[in-house]
Amino acid sequence: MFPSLLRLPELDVLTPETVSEAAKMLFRRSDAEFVAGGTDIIAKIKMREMRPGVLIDLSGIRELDYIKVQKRMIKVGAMTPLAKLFSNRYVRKHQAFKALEEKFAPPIIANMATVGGSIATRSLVSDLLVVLLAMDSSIRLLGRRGHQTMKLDRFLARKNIRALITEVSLPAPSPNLITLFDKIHPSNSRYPLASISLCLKVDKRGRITYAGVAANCARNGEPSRITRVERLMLGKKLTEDLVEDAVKRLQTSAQPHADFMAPDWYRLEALATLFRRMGMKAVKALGV
Amino acid sequence: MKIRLQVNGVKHEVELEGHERLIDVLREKLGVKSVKEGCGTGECGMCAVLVNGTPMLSCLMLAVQARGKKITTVEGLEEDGKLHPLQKAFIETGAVQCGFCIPGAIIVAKGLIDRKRRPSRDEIRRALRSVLCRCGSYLMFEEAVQMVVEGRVE
Repeated sequence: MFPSLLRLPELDVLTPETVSEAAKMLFRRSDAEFVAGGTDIIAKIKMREMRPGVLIDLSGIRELDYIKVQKRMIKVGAMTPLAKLFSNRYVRKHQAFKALEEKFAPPIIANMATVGGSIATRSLVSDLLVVLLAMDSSIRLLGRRGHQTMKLDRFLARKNIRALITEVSLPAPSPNLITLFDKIHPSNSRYPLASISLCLKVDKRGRITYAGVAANCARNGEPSRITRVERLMLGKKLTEDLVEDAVKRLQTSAQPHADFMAPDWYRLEALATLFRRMGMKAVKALGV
Repeated sequence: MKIRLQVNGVKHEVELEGHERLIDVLREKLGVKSVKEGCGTGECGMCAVLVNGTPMLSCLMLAVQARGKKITTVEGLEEDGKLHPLQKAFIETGAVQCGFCIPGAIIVAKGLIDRKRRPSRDEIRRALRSVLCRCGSYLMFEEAVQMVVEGRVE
């Protein structure tokens, strides 16, 4: 069926105004789902890929729309629209976010999609997830047992968490930290065939003290970190030779999927090419 | 449930079901027909409206999410029977072929020039990426917006 001919099936919508109200509503109904910006879930419900009995609309919760800097971390409220995130002067000091804005879906989607929603969908089309994973970001959740903080990669590995994402924490920009992002998409759409992000921190001698590499299709079509590449880079001096070694490691570590958009070998080659470009950029910026 | 919203300067109180989207309410309950459903999945921008001044897709927005908001569609741009400069510029440049996407393109352009008085050509192009024009009239869209930015149309 052509999507524009479909209507949403009947469902109830609840409109909480506070975080605690929203969480209580989620725990009360096992068939409840949150809707934030709606850019992903509304289309999925329309296509009958999801059938929630009730939607909990988070758009009225103003307390979750903020960006602040605390203790060398950027804290972002889950209901912050991506357009607001991209235009934040502090966030834009990360090169990855500038590239993300440039390569992201149409600006109108960034006006609607939220930071929390982009994480909760766990989707391979969420470019934001790739950048946040590489930066080793954490999320704050409100679950049945109260608030808890969790690394984003751990959250993605656990499929059945029923909780409200309230905040994302990512490292603040610093002179010895570089974050990069790139992706390949079809000419008529911003759907990511392959997207990848690199985050490196070096000490005064040029040794890598943190390496984060993540791709949207790293593990069978799911966004994930590529830890074998990270381990190879950690503790070494950032040089062009190291980047070439890391590219080879990536080619034997990432396991992209094949679908009607692209075969797996193409995605692997795309990831390797984008990674090499980013690695060389990092060498110029921070290398020895 | 009942919500209040303002559409093109007119206040409305609308009775609706939870599953109704903003586009459903605009077209079927309030008679605003410029807003169209193209792809239905957020790819094409035919359903773009301004929500409190920001371009958004009314096909992906539940009507209840528009409660208390000011909605502007292309019908709401004219003042005292005079077309908005963007509408005039689209006519003057002939930036119309089939016309299906024009309301969305004008709304997206309006969102841009309201936020930034003198956007660069790159910023205009980036904003227009939100609308999928199958006739390929983008260069004329861009010229029309540029005319308004440079004050070449009243």
